[in-house]
Amino acid sequence: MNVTLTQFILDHNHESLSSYLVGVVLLVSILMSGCHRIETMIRFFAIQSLSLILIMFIAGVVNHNPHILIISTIIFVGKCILIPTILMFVLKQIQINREIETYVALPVSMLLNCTLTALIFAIIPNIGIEKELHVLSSGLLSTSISVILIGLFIMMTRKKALVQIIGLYVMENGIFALTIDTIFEMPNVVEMGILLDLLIGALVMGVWVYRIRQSFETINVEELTKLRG
Amino acid sequence: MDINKILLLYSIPALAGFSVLLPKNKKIIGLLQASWMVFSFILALFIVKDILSFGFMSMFNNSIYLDALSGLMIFLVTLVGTIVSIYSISYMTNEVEEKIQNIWKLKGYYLLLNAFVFSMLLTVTVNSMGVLWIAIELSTLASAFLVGYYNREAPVEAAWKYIILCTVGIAFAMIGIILAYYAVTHVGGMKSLGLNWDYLVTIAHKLDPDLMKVAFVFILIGFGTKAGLAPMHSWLPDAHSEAPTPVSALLSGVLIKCGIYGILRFAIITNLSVGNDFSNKLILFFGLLSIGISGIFIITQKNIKRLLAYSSLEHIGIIACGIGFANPLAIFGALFHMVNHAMVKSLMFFTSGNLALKFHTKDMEHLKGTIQVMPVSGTILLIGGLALAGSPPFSIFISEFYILSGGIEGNYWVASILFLLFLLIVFGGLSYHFLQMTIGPLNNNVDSNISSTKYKMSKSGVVSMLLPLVLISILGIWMPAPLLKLLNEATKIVTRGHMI
Repeated sequence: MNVTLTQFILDHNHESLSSYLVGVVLLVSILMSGCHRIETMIRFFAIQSLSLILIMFIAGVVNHNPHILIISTIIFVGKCILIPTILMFVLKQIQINREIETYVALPVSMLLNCTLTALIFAIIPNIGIEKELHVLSSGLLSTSISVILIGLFIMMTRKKALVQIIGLYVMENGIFALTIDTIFEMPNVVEMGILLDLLIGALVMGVWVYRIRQSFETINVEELTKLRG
Repeated sequence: MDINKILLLYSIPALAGFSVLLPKNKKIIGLLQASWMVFSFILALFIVKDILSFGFMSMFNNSIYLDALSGLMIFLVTLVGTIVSIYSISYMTNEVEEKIQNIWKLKGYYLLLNAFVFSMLLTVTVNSMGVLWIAIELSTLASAFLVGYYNREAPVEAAWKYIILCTVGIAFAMIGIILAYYAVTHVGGMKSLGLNWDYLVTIAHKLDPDLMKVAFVFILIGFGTKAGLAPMHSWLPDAHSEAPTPVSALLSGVLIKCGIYGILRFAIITNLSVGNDFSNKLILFFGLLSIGISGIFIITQKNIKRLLAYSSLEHIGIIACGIGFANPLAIFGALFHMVNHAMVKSLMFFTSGNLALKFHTKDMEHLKGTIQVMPVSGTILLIGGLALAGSPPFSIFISEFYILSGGIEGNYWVASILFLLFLLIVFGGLSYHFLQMTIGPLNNNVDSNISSTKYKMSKSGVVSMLLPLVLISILGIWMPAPLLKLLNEATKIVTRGHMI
């Protein structure tokens, strides 16, 4: 394991370190909900995944998990390099980069998500789960629930198929945060399997976005109205 | 010995997937696939026999766990896989000649079919709930390509809906699994084993009931989406109606039951932790809702494949009701119903596929009096339609009767009456549609154009339709002893959580 990095984490206050990262995760997801360039959204997604992996790494070092470096490296390669690359590739193929029409105006959706997050941060500590669940750094539980809901919000309010995939992955990142917060990590087999599923999922859904573009000449999912009843 | 068998069972879809890439003749490809699947079915019978004599088996460091419940599912997956492969020989050659010229497209179909079967076999044999989640997600990804195989507008839309809805649904199931795992670590359970089903059962009574309730709700929503329970069913009619006919049979015959299998496994643990009432009542509610909603859509349906898809919704609701009645008799009926429904639904999809090839339409307005045009397919459509609706001599009637009497025995009076009422509505709708299609007046406008298209029933088509037809007729009056034992053992596993 990387000795200097480990030493750095142990020397510094790991709680404040991970608190900064939790802040980044939350901020990025709110920014994503108000972002109209798809390329920027993919970059934001990579940043968010990176922060989460760092949080997991810090937690692993503090808990003396011997495999943490390998696991975080693999997840880093999957979530920060491969999935964004696949999504960027799809974006290049379909040549649509801006999303102008949405069901909820983007500034409004940002405000809504801020309110939602504030509400969750106000409510969660009061219902007593926070004390029960193992809290790595203050606010990670509230953050994870907020990120899951923001991901859902993005999926529901956007019309472009590709943006819906990104929303799905934001939601998945929220679940990843929940995993880190409650149980640190899944058994290794499961963790790797989930990553594999996400990778295949990005490929498969990318293909379908491309096919929607081919058949319907748009990637607005509101055009998909052939099947009813 | 046992390890070899299960390894072989896993490797058959992989081997079949590679071997179909080699030949150049369409017929040989189909025959090769069918023989691999027949082999896997025979192997599955041996595995089931082992399960029955040993009770349960766990191997590979506990990563695979086989008991009667998984035995039943292995039986079902390989059986439907076999029938579907036999049917594919003639159907896909016809399709290839009529629409798709490229042979690689056909090879792609078989490759994906094998990947799909493999993911379902993995779903029903693994021990860890986490790996079960992964396998179910894999089955979504593999079958999405099969659903959108024709690559026109409607199939693409169906595939997109299917993939997005099921992936989001299954993300919710992940939250449930995380919460359950947290409950295990919270009571000091072993972390490395924490997701293994056999371990979860042993420590279930110690798990925090409130946490398990929340986890179960997430699991029910997540796997319920995959099972097609209302109100998460909106992907189901689209995917079933737009997929190629053999794939529709596979989706409806086993895929949605894999979702039920996931719910069932988790419900056993929840029952042990929380007590009897919570999970069963929830499942019962969703089951009744599914039957009710399907009834409305069945009566007003115009498209034959969508009609069959909504009937799948009805039957998954019936199975859920049987589980929800939480009575050994009803659960026996529900498990038996899984087998019956898989058989009848494959038969019906195959027949509707033949009609579609002949009439070039799925619209029931134009599919009238088919018995005059296609005597064999028409007769099978009539018999199968009556069996599907649940008329007496067939096995579907028997399993529905078990479920209903289980519900009455368990004193679920209101639910039983609703169950019966909804079944009657569906029976009326289905028999009306099928009678119109078979012995109704022949539609004159399309008559000339039908007789000009040549469609002859091939041998593989006949075999694949006779097999399920014979099975449902026999199972209606006599059940072979091994199947009875398997169902009984599986019922015991499910009722394990009811003892408290």
